[in-house]
This record gives sequence, C-alpha cells and structure tokens, in this order.
Amino acid sequence: MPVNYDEIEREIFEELADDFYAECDELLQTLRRDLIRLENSVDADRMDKNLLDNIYRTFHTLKGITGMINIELAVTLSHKLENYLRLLCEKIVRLTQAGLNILMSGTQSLEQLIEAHRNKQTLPDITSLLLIIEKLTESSDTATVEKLHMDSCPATLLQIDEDMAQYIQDGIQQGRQLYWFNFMPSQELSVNGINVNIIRQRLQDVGEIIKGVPSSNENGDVSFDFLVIGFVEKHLMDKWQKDGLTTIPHDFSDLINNNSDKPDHDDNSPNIISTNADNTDHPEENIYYQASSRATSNIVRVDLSRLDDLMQMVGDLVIDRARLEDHVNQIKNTVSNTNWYMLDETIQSIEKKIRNLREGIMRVRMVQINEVFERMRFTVRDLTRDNTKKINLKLVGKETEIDKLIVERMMDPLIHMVRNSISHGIETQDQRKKCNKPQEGLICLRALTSGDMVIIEIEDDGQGIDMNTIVKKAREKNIIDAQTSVNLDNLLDILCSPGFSSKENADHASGRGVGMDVVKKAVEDLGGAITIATEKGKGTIFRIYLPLTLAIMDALIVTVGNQQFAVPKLAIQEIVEVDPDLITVSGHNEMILYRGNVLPIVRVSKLFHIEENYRRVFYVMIIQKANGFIGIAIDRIINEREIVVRSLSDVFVNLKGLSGATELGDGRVVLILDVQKLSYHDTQQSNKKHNLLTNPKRKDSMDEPKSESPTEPYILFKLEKTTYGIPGKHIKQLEMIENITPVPNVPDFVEGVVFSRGLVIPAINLRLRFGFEKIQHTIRSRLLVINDNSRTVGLIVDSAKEFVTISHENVYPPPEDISEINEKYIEGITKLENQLILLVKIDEILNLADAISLE
Amino acid sequence: MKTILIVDDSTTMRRMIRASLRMIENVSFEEAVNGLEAIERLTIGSIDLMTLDLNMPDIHGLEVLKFIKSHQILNQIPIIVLTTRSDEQTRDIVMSAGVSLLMNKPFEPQQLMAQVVRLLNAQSVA
Repeated sequence: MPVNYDEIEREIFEELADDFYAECDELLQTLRRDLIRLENSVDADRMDKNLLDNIYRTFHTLKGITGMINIELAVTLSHKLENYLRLLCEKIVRLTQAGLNILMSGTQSLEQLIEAHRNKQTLPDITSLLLIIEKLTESSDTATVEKLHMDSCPATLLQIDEDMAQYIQDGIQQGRQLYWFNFMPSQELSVNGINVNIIRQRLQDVGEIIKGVPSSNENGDVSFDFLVIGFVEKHLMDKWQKDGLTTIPHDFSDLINNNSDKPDHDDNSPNIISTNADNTDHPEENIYYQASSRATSNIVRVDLSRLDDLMQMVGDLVIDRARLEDHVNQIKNTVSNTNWYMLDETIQSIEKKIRNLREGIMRVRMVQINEVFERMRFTVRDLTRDNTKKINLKLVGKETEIDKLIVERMMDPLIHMVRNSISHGIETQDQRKKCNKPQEGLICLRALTSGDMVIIEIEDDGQGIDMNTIVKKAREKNIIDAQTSVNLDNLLDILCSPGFSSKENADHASGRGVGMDVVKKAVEDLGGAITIATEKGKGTIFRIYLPLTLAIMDALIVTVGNQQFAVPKLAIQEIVEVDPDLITVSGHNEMILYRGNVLPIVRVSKLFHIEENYRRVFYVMIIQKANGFIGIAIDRIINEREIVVRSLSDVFVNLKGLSGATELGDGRVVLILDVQKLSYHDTQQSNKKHNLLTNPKRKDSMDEPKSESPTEPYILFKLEKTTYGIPGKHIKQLEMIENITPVPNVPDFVEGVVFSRGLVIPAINLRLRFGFEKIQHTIRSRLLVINDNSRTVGLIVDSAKEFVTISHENVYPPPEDISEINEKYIEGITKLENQLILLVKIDEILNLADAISLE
Repeated sequence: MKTILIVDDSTTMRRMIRASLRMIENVSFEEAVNGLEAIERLTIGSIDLMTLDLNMPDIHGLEVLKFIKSHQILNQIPIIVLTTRSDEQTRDIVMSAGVSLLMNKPFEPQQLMAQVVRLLNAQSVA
C-alpha cells in the first residue's frame, strides 16, 4: 500500500500546532521583556550588544516558526523587524524612541497575528506598520550587513575586538581575573552527564564567559576553549580536572594591550562597515559586552490539558480510595485481625501515595507570577507613551508561585486593573505637581502567599476614587436608587456592575472586552475574592485573594442536623467544644468568650435553615477573617478527608457561603462551606441580588432561530396527567433519581444538587416550577438532564418516554386556558396520535429573575 | 542503524524535523540546541548526518560549519543547512563551505525526508 505523505504531513502539523503556538508565546514573552530593557539604550552611546543580539535572534526564530505554520504576514513583519535589529546591531543606525516604539508595536502586532491565526480569525491589517518599518530601514544597505555576518567567524579564542578588550580591561580593574579554560568532551564523561552545556553552566556560575570556541589539535581531538572573566577558587579548578575541564595558563597582558592600542580594521571589528554615510553622524558608539546568560535548560514544556487529565485521574483515584475504604470497613467483622491489619495498612499506604502523587502534579502546575507581572511593564509603557503621565511600576514578590491555570485566567483581568490605575488613578504630571506629589506616579504590584491563598495587590498613589462621582454615575445608570449612598462596603459591587464602566473606560480597554465586572467574575470563578480600599487624593488599593491551587484539598467533614458539609481544613484556625449554656445572646447575635475575647458565632443551621439535632455540646470552628475572628457553629465533626472540588456554578444554586461541592464515594453530593464568606448578612438577600446583576438573563436567547429542518426530535415526559415535549437537542441524558443533596436558601423548586457525569447540577422539581403540588418520587420518576446556553440542569418529572419526531408545521401557539400552568412556560402545542403535547420553553424554566420574584 | 543529529535552538523546530523524518526506517535521532553542543555530539557520537540551523545562541551556524569542514574526520559527515535566510550570498557562502544541501525554512517535510534518504543512501554506497 502506498504511503500517503500528504496525510503524514497534515498529521505532523496538527500534532505540533500547539507546540508552535506555545513557543511563539514564549518568544513573545522574551521579546517583551528584552524590549523593555532596551529602553535604556534609546539614543545612548553605549549599547548592550548581547541584548540586541538576543532580540535580533528572537525575531529571527519567530520568523522561522511563523513560517512553518504559514502566517505569511507574521513572517514578513518579523523579517522586517529583524532587518532593523540587524542595522542596530551593526551600528548602522542609532536606536531612537520612535524606533523602539515601532519594535514594541511590531511585537504587539505579531502577537495579534499569531493569536488571530490560532483562533482562525481574520488577520489584522498591518500594512501601515510595514510601511513605517520599511521607512526606518530603507536608507541603509542591508546587503553589506549580510556579508559582515558571513565573514565574522572568529576562529580562535584570543582573537577579540577592541570593545571586548575594553570590557575585559574594565573587569580586571574591578578586581576580576581572566581565565582560559579548556574542556575535552568524551563519551565517558557524557554518559556521566558531563557535557559542554553543563561545563558552560559551571563557568557561568563563577564568572562571565566572554567567548567559547571549538578547537582541535593535530590528532583531530576536539575540545572547547572558553575565555572567562570572574573569580574561580583553586579547589574548584582542582575538582573540575577530573571532568576534563582544565585551565590553560596564559599571559593575557599583550592580548589586551595590543587590542586596545591598535584597533584592527582588517578583522571583524564592527567599525569595518563605517563606510556607510549614516554612521558618520555618531562615530563613537561603544558596544559593551554582557555575559551571555542564555543557559540551556532542562525544562520540559507540558500542555496544561495533559496535566488537567492527570489531575482528573488523581481526583478519581481519591474517590475510589475513599470508596474502597468504606467497603473494607463494612467487611471488618468478617475477616481475621491479621488480614484486617494488612488491608488497613495497604489502604493507608495507598492514601499516602495518592497524596504524594497529587502534590507532585500540583507542583508541576505551579509557575511564578512573574510571567504576569512582567507583562505589566508593557502595559504601563504602552499607556504612558504620550508622556502626560509618568509611572514607576514596582513589582514585589515576583517569585511567588501560583497555579498555571490561575495565571492564565488572571492575565487579562490584571492588565485591565493596571490600565484602570493608569487611566483613572494616576494623575497627569501637571496635576500631581499641583497636589505636591512627586511627578512620577507609583503603581505597585505585590504578590504574597498566605496559607493556602495567594494575595495580589494592585496599589496606586493616584487620586483615589471620588464617592460623589460614583454615586452620580451609578444613579444615572440605574445601578442604585436615589436613596442608596455609596461607601466602601458597596463601592466594589457598584464598580463591578455590568454596565457601570464609563465610555472612557471602554475606550482604553478596547480590544480586550474586559470590564471590572469581568474581573470580579474571573476572580470568583477561581474561588477567590476581591476587596478595595481607596482614599481621595491618596490612592487606591485592590486586593485579590486567590487559591494557590485548585481541584483537591484537605477538608473536615462535619454535620449540621442531618446534612453533611465539607470545610477546607486550611481555613480553620482551631476547633473548640462549646457548652450551649455559655453562649451569650444579644439580639440576633450570639457570642462566646474565646481566649479572653468576644467571638461572634454564626450557626450554619440558622443560616441554611436546617433543623438542629439536640446535643449536649456543639463545636465551633474558629476562622480568621480580614477584620478579626468569627466562629462557625456545627453539630459534629465526622472525619478528615481529601476532597475533590467540583464547581457549583449554576445561578440556581450559586450562593455566597458555598464554594463548591464534592463527593465522598457514595455518589451523594456534599456541599463545601466557604467559611470566609459565611455570615448572616451575606448569605441572604444580597446574594440573590448579586446573582441577578452578574447573570442578567439574556433576552436574545429567547429569539433563538428555529431549527431549519421541518421536523425535530422531542422527548416526551409527564407531569400530573399532561404530556410535555422538550427538544431533543437540549437533552443530555435521562437518569433515575437518587441522592439529591438539599441546598439551603434557594427557591423552593430547586430540590438540591446531584452529580451527573462529573458535574454538580441543580435538580429542579418541575411540578413545583409549574405550580403543581409536590409528590413523593416514584420508581418512574426521572431526572431529565438538559443543556441550554452552557447551563446544565436536571428536571425532575413524573415519568419520561422515548423520542418522537414532531414537525414544526403542526405546532400551534398555546391557547390561553390550556391548563392551569402559567402559559409563559409553554412555547406551543401539538397533537400526536390523538394526544395533546405541550412544548416547553426551556429558557423560561431556567429564568432566575422570575424565580426570585416568585419568592 | 543510522544516527541523525538535529541542531536547532527551537524546541518546536527540532520536533518538527524529527517528525518529518520519522518514517525513515532504521534511524535514530540526537539533538543539540547550540553550536558547541552540536560539535560535541559530532565528536563523541557516531553521527551519520546532521541538519543544522544557522541562527543559534552561542556560535553562529557558519562557525560550526567552518570548524567541521576544517577537521579531517568530521568533514565527511553530510550536512543539511536549514535556514530562513534565502539570499544568494548566504547560499554561496554556505555551499562553498562544503555543505551537502541548503534548504529554506519553512521546509516541506516530504522534501526534507527525501533528501535525507538520498544522502544517507549515497553515504552507504561510498
């Protein structure tokens, strides 16, 4: 059979596409960092040659890679930028502010091109940018430069140009020494992990490698020579000898002197190209050398989704192990003690190993927050280009590690917040002068780890937020009514309301589509929280709390009444036993004495309207909050377990005070308490208002275009005596009803939550939703799992049948008095084998606003 | 069994080259990410063919070429230079250094494979 090579090529590209994009991302990141560093070289006499070389090579590599994935425009653009860089490297042109700006916008355009290509969108138009770059480089003859590159092959170690010699001389004057090292590689050394890359790393650890070249002797033995400046201790040199690394004694004095005395215009000194007219304008540029620090790394790049798969598997393992333990406990009495002991020990050992495995994977997922922070330099630079504002960006805690997913999700929100600080926070230089503030504004990004949270702060010393302006604007936009005032407590909610962002704001953040509402949502989706503090004239500080990692955590399983809850262990400071008699009651509040202080107590039972079982003592978990301690009262602590966190995101069951759900091995959903947010004040009304605000019902979803085909499959179900139909495209599956976990403070018709294929979804009693009486579930009751607009919910119905096909032409609008149910849930009516079928409107059933108003 | 040394500082590019050549029977691959490492691999491993990138962090691909060609044993190894530089001058200089073949990036995987097979076979005959 002939091999289909086209097919193979296609496969190769598909397989490597992600790698290509990932490497592009890395290169762009390097570029952004390097370009910022290049800023110091604008109009400067001395250029950092290594930096220029690096930037030049990065553009070059980008050209190669974008070529492989066929982004022609990106190839052209990087080629032009590369040419410009080459002119800079060879000192044919001088780096101007305009030039740097073009390099920056070029980099940004490259990013946009690659991003658009990745998402299969139309590529942005860069014609004007290309023209500008061409203008920048046209005056120079690039061919000369090509030639220079070809000729510049310094063959021996000691052949160095005058700039390099000068750099060495400066180093020696500062007390450093010059060494000639020789490394002779061999098969044997290589097997033991000693190779030229390792050697280079070693030398870089003790100094700077000025130059490294290959050489061979008359026998053809190959070795490497390195010229190193720094300080190397004698014992190190002795130790290195057995690894084939030796020092070659040499008197360098003539080398340095010779070079500085007579600049050699016949060799590869950059001055050789000073024939170019441009160069006469600034003849005395110096290029100084910095240590080449591009260390070869042992880093393996892993696709995040592969780690997610692994994490998911570990999650499943955790649940399986819990299940195994339960089963084993049940047969405890039927096995001998010895057997029991061995079983028990094995289970404990498995637990320990799963824990290690989990921690191992978590560690792999952790990256330094630096990745995000460094990006901000670019943002700041970008927005201060017009020079009306001057900003000093301070980055603190760059090495703080955080889950890669969180880094990715927080990138855009943080950029937006920094943009806000610049455009709304920091005043112009003139304004600052008038207020007696330093002309340069300060924006400080801080990251620190605290317990299992990472705290990110965005602080500026700008004008602060003017409450009066906010009040005015919020009233104008109907976000608050005329009576409501604005204070620090509701400020953030208002700022984060969809639709609050001013026009001006939208302009600055254009192209990103991020407003403060999106920032807040991103933070909350990650299980985090955000706070604000501001003082007029002094500045504003946002503080974002994020979990270090996601997915699995250690938790205490507790009970309140007959319901189990999970509480993240790290959130709990201490647990105390409390005698009910020692509680002081004051109005609605209860408190106890804890270590000499008054500790307010929140009862989970009261909060969630759960009937308490009478106990002689109960337990209080001590939680540290931003403004002191509180105690969360529960009935009993069952045990400590690892839990797999699943998100609880549907608006029907998404409440403050719950951070997710988990499963303990019996298929039943256990809710995870978000102890930081538990308080009588929060969990009630404000909650729902908030949900309404952030999840406005999408009107357009009602006008969803009808399926084009004349017929459509429906699934039929029964309630009372009536038959209803629901479009088959919305049905995910049909399940028996088991183990519904009640959720507190939700509308009546939400019976609770259940697991369905790894998701935690609300179970809606359709009888109650339609206004019928509630009945006991029977063996015919079914859970109809449906999907609409990315929401997945389960509908509890009396019974359900198979699919039928219904043709649209036989569907009529519902007559007004068809049944006692509200007609708004009914889309139409049809007839099938003499039976009337009501077709339901899914989006109306899932409409939260309506559900709240019912209450 | 023949061994091919792939020299390129871009991880993706190395994987790409490797993937393009994986249909060739009886070959194994070694990789180098910079010029000195390439020379080291050539010296201590038994390499039958090398693909070389010109644009590298430590020493330029041309320096690697120059060194190899001046060496009495290493200069027998067939070399394919893969580059994004496509002007006449580069071609002249590279070819005069005694390179077997110069291919431009982006390259066609099939073409690269065909050329590698051709060079490996020619070597066997010799």
